[in-house]
Amino acid sequence: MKLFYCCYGGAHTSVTCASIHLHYLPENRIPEPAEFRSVPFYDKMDHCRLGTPVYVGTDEMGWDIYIIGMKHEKQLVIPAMKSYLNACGVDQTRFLLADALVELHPITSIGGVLTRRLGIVSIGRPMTIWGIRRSYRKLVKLVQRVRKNLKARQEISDFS
Amino acid sequence: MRIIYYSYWGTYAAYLMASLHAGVYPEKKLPSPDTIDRQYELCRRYANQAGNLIYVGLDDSLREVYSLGCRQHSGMLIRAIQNMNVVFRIREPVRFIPAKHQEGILPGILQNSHFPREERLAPYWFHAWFRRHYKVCAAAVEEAKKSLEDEETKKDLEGEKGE
Repeated sequence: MKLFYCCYGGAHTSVTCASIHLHYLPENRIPEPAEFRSVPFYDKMDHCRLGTPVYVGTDEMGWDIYIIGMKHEKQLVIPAMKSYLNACGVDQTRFLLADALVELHPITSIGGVLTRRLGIVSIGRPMTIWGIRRSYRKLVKLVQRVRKNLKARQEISDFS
Repeated sequence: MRIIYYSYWGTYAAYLMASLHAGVYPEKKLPSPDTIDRQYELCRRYANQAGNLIYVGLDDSLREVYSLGCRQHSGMLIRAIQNMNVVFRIREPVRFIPAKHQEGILPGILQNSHFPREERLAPYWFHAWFRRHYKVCAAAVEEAKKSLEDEETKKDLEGEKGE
């Protein structure tokens, strides 16, 4: 079973969501900036690797968690992935895509452009962390909703 | 192996080349006007559905042939699809063949024309585009087929050496 957290660049929100999901980051408090910096893949995805799913870990329910950057082309990439997997005979219940692009603080977006596009990491990365910390509660709520969904799926599959 | 012909629109040059590859369209001569009309209808209905694989058929070596519309994000889509093979451990390889150089600008004009006058003229324009690009597409398909065969021969030779 695979879960893909998708966002624009695959570097900030999806990584944060995957980290919350895998308990690398806490749910009950807003993490310190140093905790974000220690998260693997945080602010690391290069522009030329957009579309590549990156494995982050496996959760307690056995779901493999991936992150993927899709720019604003979800309506293009998701059908392509789904139709290809359908052609390969992969069961649609074996994977789930979760949109991690929640309403972000604009500072996160500006920081993301500075780091990933312009390569100014020293200024951009702290800005992304500052912005992500402001939206952290929303991301936690999103992950909790996803987990609930996964549990419900598991219960249904156990029942059937 | 799965072969995917891709371009900005999935129903113009990509579909034409995929059809030539799968043997749906004849290599040496133009298909009948009815067949061209059928592709025109497909373009009218489904050209805007980018990202969906369109199954065209099987080729001589029983490889599945598809066409795909990518807009201007072909690189991202190719990476996403190729990595699905890794993530889901799909052993059958997938090969992408670009068709964007055979497409030209007319498909864009046809897709974006909403005026009744253009609407009336569109089938004629499509027929003209089809006739004009058919030979070029056939040559590109021939080249792609050759490179696929070369690749397979190389693999077979490497396999024999390994044994």
